[in-house]
Amino acid sequence: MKQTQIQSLLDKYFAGESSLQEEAQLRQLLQEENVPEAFKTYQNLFKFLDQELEIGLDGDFETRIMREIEQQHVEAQPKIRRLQVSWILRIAAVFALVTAGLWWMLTSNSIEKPIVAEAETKVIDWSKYEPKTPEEAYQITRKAFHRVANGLNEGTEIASEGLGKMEEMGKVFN
Amino acid sequence: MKIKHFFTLAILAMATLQGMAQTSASAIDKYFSSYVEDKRFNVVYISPKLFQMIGKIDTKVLDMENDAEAKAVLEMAKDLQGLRILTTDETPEAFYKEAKAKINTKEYEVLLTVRDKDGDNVEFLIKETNNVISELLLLSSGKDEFVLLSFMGSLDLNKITRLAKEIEKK
Repeated sequence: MKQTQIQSLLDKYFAGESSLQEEAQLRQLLQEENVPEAFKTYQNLFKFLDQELEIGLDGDFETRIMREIEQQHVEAQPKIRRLQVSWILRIAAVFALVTAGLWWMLTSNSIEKPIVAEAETKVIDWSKYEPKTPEEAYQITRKAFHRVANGLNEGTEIASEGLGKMEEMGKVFN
Repeated sequence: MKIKHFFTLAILAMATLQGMAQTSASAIDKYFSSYVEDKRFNVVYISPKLFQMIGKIDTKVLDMENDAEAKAVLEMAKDLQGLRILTTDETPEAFYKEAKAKINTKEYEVLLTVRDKDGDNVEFLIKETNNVISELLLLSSGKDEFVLLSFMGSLDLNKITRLAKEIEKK
């Protein structure tokens, strides 16, 4: 009789149609020592399931899991700091560009000398070198202008002579 | 963000400083101030005020060779703000080389260079800002003399060359 009982209970269990009461009953029946051979495997199965049910949380589970959580939380923090680092890099890049610009400006001759020369211009007192009369000034200007005129005319004359020769040469080739 | 603004302002300030600094200093002030103090040099300066006075001279009073020349000179004088001349008769070639080396070619553009068989050298340089020539620089060396000449003002090169031709038409 027990065999048929066990069999029918097992059938219900595996069909998913057994009630909790019937499952308990099945367990109990299988735990008895004189279980028929045919059902030995099922006995082992239910023993295993029971053992699994026994497993509970030990005392310090909570402590351990909280520790794990906190570690992950700490690891998450640096990600926020990494954003701040990229901002610093941006500002540093702009600063570097600006500094490079200023450095270039300061080292190129055309700026350095005028700023230095401003101080020097104050040192030269040109008024001591002025001619006493406007007539004298006129003569000086006239002579100066002659020099310029001579130089320019000489230069352009030589240039045009040279060009003239080039034209002649060009005629040869054409 | 505020730091960036500060630096932009700083750069602008420096740029305007540069612009300001270049208004009144001639090449002689910048590169040849040592010559001005040098006893070997003869130094002459015509100030803007003197140019004004020249413009007002009655042409008949002046001991003129011809009127065309006077007209040309007076015409030139109108554009001029300053004329500085340095001359020496000591070691002209050496001074010429030295002077040429001192000039910053980013600021002053060479207009014309002549060197003839007698060993005489002439070089013209101009300083141009916004298509206006603010300074004409002449360096010249011969056997006897080294001349350094600076015209400052708002110069028109075409006008100068035209007047130069007229003045030489003797």
